[in-house]
Amino acid sequence: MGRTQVRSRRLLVMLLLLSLWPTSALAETNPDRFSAGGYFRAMARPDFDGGWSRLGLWNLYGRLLNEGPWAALELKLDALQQEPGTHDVWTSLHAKLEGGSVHGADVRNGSLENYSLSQLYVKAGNVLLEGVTWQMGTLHTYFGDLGLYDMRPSDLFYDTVGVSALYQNDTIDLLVGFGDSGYGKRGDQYSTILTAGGSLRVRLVDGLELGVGGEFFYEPEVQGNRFAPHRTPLPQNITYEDYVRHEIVARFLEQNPGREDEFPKPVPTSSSSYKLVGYLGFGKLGPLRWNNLFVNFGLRHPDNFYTETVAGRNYTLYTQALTDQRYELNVGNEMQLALVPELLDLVWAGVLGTRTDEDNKVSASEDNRFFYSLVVRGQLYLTETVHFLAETSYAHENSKQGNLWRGHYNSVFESQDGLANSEGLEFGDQDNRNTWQLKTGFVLNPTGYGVFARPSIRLLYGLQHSTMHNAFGNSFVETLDQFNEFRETSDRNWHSVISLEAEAWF
Amino acid sequence: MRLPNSSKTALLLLAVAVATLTACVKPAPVTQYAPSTTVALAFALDDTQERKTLEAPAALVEAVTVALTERNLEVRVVPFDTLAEGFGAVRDSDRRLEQVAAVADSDVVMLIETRADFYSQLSGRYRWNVTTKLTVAARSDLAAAEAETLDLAAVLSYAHEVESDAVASLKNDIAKRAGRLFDRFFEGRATQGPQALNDGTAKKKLMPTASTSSL
Repeated sequence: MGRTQVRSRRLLVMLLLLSLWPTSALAETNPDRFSAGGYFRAMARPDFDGGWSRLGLWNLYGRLLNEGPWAALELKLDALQQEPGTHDVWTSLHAKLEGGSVHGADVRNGSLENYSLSQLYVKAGNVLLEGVTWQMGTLHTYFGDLGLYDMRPSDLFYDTVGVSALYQNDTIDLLVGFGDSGYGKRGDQYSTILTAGGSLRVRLVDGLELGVGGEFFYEPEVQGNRFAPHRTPLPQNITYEDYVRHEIVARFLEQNPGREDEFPKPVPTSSSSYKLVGYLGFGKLGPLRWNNLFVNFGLRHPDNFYTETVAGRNYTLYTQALTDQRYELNVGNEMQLALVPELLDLVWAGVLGTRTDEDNKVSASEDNRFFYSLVVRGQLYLTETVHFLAETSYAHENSKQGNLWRGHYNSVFESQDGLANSEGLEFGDQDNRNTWQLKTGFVLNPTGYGVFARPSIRLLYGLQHSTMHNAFGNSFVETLDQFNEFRETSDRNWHSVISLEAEAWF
Repeated sequence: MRLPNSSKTALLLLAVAVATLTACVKPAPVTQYAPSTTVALAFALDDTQERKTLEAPAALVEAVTVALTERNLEVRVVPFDTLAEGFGAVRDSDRRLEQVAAVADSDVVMLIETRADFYSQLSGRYRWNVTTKLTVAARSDLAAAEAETLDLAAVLSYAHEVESDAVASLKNDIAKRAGRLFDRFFEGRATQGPQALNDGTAKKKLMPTASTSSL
């Protein structure tokens, strides 16, 4: 048993012991000092098309049937309970464990290796400043989410551990935070990434609110730390194409035979990045329950380094200068409508995104894409607890610099202008991928009406058509080798699954 | 559009499963009481920051009223204005019950106190802890009150939703528990009345109003 597993089990035992913490006696409506909340989704999804129980490749086509199992458990202990009408200090402890595997529902069979302590923080109020809530530990926060996509374009401090202060009144929520995102972004190649940011939400009138926010990352130069940001000065005649193929050293040695020791040494530097978010929410107008509009614009944090091996010798190449211009813009909207109260609800959502890598002008990649998607879900209430659900989605994805996807079973070798090129700068024979999905079936919601009412037990059928061949996780052997016993003989653009699934927040 | 055979198989399986689900469960009828029984119903939504009490959401008041009216009880909701000041000053349930009894003109009083504490942003939702205390007593014998406390989770979709939304989202749960508490309160105090309707279920008849003093 690995150390990580031992630690995970010890943590679980501690959390279970915490759950036995005595609770307060009740002469009035005081909450228990300890409480637990969480979320899970688990499913049985027979896949008759040879797939891995997911209808499509990702949740751009709507989260329904495109996501796998997930479980989260958040524990809270009110170490000092809030006493109304006083300015006494109060504090609570929070720990959240979550991960994406359930025994029998996916290939990882519920292994605890797939779970992590994703959040751990202390909240405290009335310390130094009245009416301010301090949070120390993990700081992840967001204005809201796109429920149909399970996306949070406005999230901030996802990787940050530090301290934040939240001031709230009837009109505004003002949050400022400061911390370090080094472990979150770099893992075992830790280097300090100072992070500062904040957000402001203003409730202009009842039914209309605005929000803005941002976070900024700065990774300082540190002499002698191999994980700190550096840049490797590229020798003359070395191009970005050589970097894409990871052939920089080989090209250098071609031009400079026998001068292995003269390959340029890394130069310390600093890195920075940022993310800006915006939010507009409005609703409570007739059948319109609420509409959330989110936008974010950001510069991704530069990568650190990679290794090339030439003639048995390893060379470390620092890529800060090659990955410091990767911009992304995302816009997402979700509108929830009660068309006929307690009979028919409708939710629609759309996202639009673009990725641009100013450094990369030669190859197709995930960093040079454009996409949009629309999802519409209707829920018809047959009874208060038995509902009929229908959802459809259409998504268009475009690779801005050449082919990125395969359209045919026999296009395995097409990687450069339709020709075979194992070192090509493209992949496949298509620069567009269009995906349509339909999901329909029955929902049992014990708690009653509502598209997002939970818990929910669903029996669904999903159908997908994609212009990409095999546009779902699968076990096919994609080769044209004449000895391949599982050789494909036709394009596979359709995919369907049937799903019996349960989902709940608790 | 021509679907592959696997899609047809999946559709067939879905149809079979739906057919299996068509069997429906008939809800158990609720207990009926004598029409002359009156209940004063009072609500409180306690603020977590300030020492004040807010008016409970109308949706909750309506749901509980319906749950009791279905039991053939005559429900009289005590206007919040008459209790706001007293409830704001006192959070002890027994003393609040006395305040309700003092202004109520009914055989039975029922107090529903709620409190909503924000828990956290949880997997895209806003989770609240809603603590509810239900207390029921004969107005003439408050010492023999029966109470039940509920700790429920409210999961809301939006940040602008506040305490009253969290409580309102649990209106059905709270109303059902209020009805059951009422039934439990009268167990042992009720007689199987000769006028009980014969619809195949055991229905209770509360003692006449004049006898409620013995509760």
